[in-house]
Amino acid sequence: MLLSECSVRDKLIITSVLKEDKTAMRLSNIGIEKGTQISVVRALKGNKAMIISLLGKAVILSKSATDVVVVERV
Amino acid sequence: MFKILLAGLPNSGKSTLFNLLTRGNAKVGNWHGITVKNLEKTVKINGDIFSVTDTPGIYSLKAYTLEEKVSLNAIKNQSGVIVFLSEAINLKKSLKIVKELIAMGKKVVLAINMLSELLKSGGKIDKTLLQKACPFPVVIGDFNKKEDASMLISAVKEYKIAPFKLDIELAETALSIPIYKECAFDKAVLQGILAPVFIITLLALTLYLSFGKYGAGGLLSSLLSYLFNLFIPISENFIRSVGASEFIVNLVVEGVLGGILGVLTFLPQMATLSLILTVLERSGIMSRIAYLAEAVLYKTGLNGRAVFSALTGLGCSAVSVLSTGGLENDLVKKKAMLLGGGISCSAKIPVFLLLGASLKFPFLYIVCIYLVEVFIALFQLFLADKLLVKGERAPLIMEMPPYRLPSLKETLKALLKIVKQSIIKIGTVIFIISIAVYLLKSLSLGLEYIPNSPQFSILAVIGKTIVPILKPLGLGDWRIASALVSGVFAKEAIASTLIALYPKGINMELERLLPLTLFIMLYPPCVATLSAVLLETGKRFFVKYTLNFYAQAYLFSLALRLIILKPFLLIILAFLITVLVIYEKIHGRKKLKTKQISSFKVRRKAKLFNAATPNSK
Repeated sequence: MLLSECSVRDKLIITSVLKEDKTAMRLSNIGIEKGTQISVVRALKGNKAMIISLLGKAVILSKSATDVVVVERV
Repeated sequence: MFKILLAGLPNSGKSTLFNLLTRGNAKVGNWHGITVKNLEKTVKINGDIFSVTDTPGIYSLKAYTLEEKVSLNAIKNQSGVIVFLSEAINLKKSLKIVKELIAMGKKVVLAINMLSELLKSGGKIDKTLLQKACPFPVVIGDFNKKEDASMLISAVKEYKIAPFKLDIELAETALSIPIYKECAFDKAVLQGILAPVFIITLLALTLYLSFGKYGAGGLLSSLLSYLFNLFIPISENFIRSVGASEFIVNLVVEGVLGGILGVLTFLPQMATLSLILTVLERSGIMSRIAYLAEAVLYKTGLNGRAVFSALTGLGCSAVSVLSTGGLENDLVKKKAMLLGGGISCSAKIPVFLLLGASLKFPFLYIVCIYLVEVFIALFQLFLADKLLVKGERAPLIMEMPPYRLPSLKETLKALLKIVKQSIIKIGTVIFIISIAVYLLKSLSLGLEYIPNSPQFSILAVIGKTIVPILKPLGLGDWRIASALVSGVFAKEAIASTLIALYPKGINMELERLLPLTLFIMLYPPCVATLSAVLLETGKRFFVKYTLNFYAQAYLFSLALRLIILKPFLLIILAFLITVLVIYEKIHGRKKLKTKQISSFKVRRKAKLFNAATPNSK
């Protein structure tokens, strides 16, 4: 499923990032890449933006970014 | 001379270290992308000369944004030592870049910053193991402290040969990172009803502390006003006692002192607002605002990061324009410039305070100004996104920094910088404009001195040529026209000109005051900002940018004037807005359906992708 469809407190593992463009590169820059374990800390109504925790830190992702991240529940 | 290049991931503390080493005043803040250009300074540290260069943050050695290209060029050309700063928590990411730097043959010192934050959150770092994995100087500490920065300087001085290897796997085992824990404050304010309450309280507090009668800005301003009122008669008596002519006395007292001190009276409000913005920038609250603002900004084609441009615009529009360099693409950059330029900068504060002084609730007037201009800026961007400008959107992808208590010394330094810049501007640009305005309003076309008949002066002639354009807005007064012309150069000049032309105080009726306020809010920012736009984007956008601001100022003020004169027009306007909202709702639903279909396609693609790569986990 897509990260944008997940809910708060979901523990997930990234299985792929769908795009191979600047967005994917920027996601990879902050650690959002295949195999990374993440969890959803907080989300705005309609998942317009999410706060994700990974590797001891938090990152903010808008819906257009979470729409390209494919995850599975751990 | 020792050459040091400070490089590292964004928000790793490079500019803070630069300021500490060079006693500089580079802009710092608790989010990524503040530094957009290299800064270089040569200093003497313990008898040795160092050339220190601060660079914008990089995530990899493949440049993606303009400022990353700037950094990479500096790295490639660096013959001295590269101090690679890494937030302790981001060490793994930094090690990959450090390895690439070593492969390029660069001399690297790895500076692991913000150690106390790592330890506080329960993380650990094994220095011995890390040093074993990295056969080059590794310094660990908090590089906003002098003693830790001195360790770094010693490491640079003692540097001998460039390293040739780095055992990343071993280095990674030296670090233990705790699981991220959301702090209680974030838990409370980043969700539900408390989120808008948080934003509104923050905004109200900021505005009250800056402009409220009993806020810091208001109280200091009253004190300054009292002191200036004592000072002006003393100066006048002194100049008369020296035997100066009436012309000189009036020029100095009415022209120079009246204009300059009139604007200086409002310096405390400008400084307080800038100080609060600095604290917000450095504490990490801005990133939380960016997250919450995404709910609104995504509708305008911008993302939450534009909040930084908008809030920087509250301080100075020119700085806001220059700070857009770090944004994702040209379209986002231009839209952020429109947003930043559309927010009244601190230079407009004296004008609004002066205009609102005669009102019953001046603070409410100021609050309304900020609310209205944010609404208009967002509304315009929303319309532009829907009807005019199509282009690549940039998603919001940013690290959320932890809360940090801004250092008192650094904050005061930033405040002094702002005050100094304002005083210099008032002492030069406003000084010249004040003299020019006084001369133009006291001399007739035949250069006759007519201090008591300004309506026949050169300024009146100039103002009257513009009056026909402004008349439909209810601003058909040559004094207002002249003030608006002077504001093209610097916004404070509107205040100094109004003070000169309304010696008995401004006491306008509401039907004139409101369109004037709206016009000043919306017409183009000062020459410095427009130059920055020209420099950053080129002639074509510069012309569009300037014309857009003139057009919006004129049209919105005209609409307001018409509504004031014929209130039933408000009903028509409300009807038009309702139609627009209904259209957006219907259009939005259609879009949602299309998205649901494409989301289904994406899921199918993902399934196929996972089936093709069974070991993807």
